Amino acid sequence: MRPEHQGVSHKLIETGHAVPIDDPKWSKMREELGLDPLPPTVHSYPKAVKEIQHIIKQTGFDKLVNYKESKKDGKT
Amino acid sequence: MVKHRYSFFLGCVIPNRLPQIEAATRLIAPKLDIELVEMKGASCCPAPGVIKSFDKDTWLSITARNLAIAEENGLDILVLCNGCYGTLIAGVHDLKDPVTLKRINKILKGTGHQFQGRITAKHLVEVLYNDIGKEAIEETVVNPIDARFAIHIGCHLLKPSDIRPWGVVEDFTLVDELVETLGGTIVDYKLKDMCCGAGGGLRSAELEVSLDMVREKLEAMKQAKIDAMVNVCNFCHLQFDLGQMQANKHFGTDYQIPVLYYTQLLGLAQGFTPKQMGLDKHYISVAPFLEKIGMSV
Repeated sequence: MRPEHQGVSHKLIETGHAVPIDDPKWSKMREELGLDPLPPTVHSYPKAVKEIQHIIKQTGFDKLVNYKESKKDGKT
Repeated sequence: MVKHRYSFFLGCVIPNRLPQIEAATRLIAPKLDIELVEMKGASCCPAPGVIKSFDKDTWLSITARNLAIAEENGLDILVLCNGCYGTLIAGVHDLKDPVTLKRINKILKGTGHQFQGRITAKHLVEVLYNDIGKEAIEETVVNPIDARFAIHIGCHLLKPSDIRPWGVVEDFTLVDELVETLGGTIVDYKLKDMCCGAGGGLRSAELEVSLDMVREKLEAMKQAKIDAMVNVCNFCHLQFDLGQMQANKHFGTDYQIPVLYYTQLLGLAQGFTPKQMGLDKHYISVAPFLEKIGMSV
């Protein structure tokens, strides 16, 4: 498991997106294009992120990608 | 009454890195009598190259949740990304097996979603070519685009072909035809069917290899003397646009090939401005192409 791919997995667990809005410039760009600053995805529905995390817990994916341990080590 | 309604799947890269493609698609849709219904709370598809490779049940469960959201809308999915399409259509296929469906729906318990297998996922190309049709698209063209284009189809749109709607996938011409419908001339180039180099987790983990692949394609496009390249996948788009800039820096090249997602080109043909299509947001300047067709950013 490459650390880059592990990082992508951690972003999915934390946000529901493998490529999330992680800088205000992306929301600004959306607004410049006439879009809402956040898309109508998990980004606009905190409950939806919980649903993804529920799935992750059920399958044990968090353990597979060493989620908690990596966070503790500051690798995320 | 709107004739064509779809659950609109955004994925990650389009809303969070390339919103110009989202904006362009939302603008062109009504002209084709398409209503894009939001998939509220949808997530990453999730990415086939990474998540599916790590754990299939995690991948399939998150896919099933996305499919269930579309099913709750009562509408098939319209998807713009080849990778997301690959995941969603594979999910539809895998979940036809009752044992698998039962196992995955058990994992989904507690999320409030269950997938019943009543909807499918369609790529933009399938929607435009099969559901809307070239004639209806042509009727919306007010500004034919007279320019030379290289087409990049991408991998997941066509393969694995046994769970795609196309039949024969060799010499696939649907995207070429959709561009010709707007007035464009298609230019053949070496390596047309080659991967852009972004997918499968390659771009995130092996950037140099990934950029070398896109450099090969860019060189072939340059030799073909095109005005712009057109794609139907946002991740390929990112690779050709941002990746082109990165490849120039890494390899000391100076490719300046304008990159357009199909709905951006369609929007120009429908009379929208380059700014409305977000062409001022690209890494590689689109100005030379726009000048060729009598427009400016």
